[in-house]
Amino acid sequence: MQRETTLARDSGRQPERTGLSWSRTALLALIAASLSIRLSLSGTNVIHLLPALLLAALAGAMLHHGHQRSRYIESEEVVTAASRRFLLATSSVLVIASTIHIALLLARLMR
Amino acid sequence: MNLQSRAVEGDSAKDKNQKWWKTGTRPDYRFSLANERTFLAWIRTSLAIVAGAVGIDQFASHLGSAQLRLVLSLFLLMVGGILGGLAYTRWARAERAMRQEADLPLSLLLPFLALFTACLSVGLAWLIIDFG
Repeated sequence: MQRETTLARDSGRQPERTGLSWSRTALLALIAASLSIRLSLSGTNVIHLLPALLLAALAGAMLHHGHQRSRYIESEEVVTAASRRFLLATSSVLVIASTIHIALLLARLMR
Repeated sequence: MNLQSRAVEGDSAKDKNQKWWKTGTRPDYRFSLANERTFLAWIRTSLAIVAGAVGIDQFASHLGSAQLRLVLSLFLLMVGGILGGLAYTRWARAERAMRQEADLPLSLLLPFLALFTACLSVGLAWLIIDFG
């Protein structure tokens, strides 16, 4: 009985907390993307734009995913774990974006 | 199949037949969601460090020397990239442990991150006072 009420109360907050977590991460990705735009002004090559584009795309995907996910959690009684592929893609985008940044900085050093 | 026979068989033999995200039992969804939010917190940490690196590189032209800014940015970008990648492996390890009802994996990442942040703050404060 007590377990049921605890679950009911808890499940009310879980979607909200998870959804908000996604959206504030998306917001930070957007900030990082807009900072990276400045980097694209420092070169004519298209690759200078890539980190900003990647991070902006990540922010958009995260907003969408978080929205979908909180709706899904609210509607279903049993919730599966996060989409493994989406989390893997999120991690990968960060690794790729920072690697490109590093490459650009090193290229500037060589000049 | 109980835990013991699984341990005897060895993980490698089992992994070939079944992906880890299909082994064991599905954990309580609240734990999975908490794990997901922890993943996102690590992603935010990584994003903040990357943003800091870009900020130092592009917007702090008065801070220290050009070489110092470059080294600092490179270092921050490396840490940010590594943390971004580790976010996924941490999530996966915790998820796997929960599925198999094992202990959650320990990690040295937190004390390292604390040390890193402390050193960075002191270093930046020194730079700002000295060159600001």
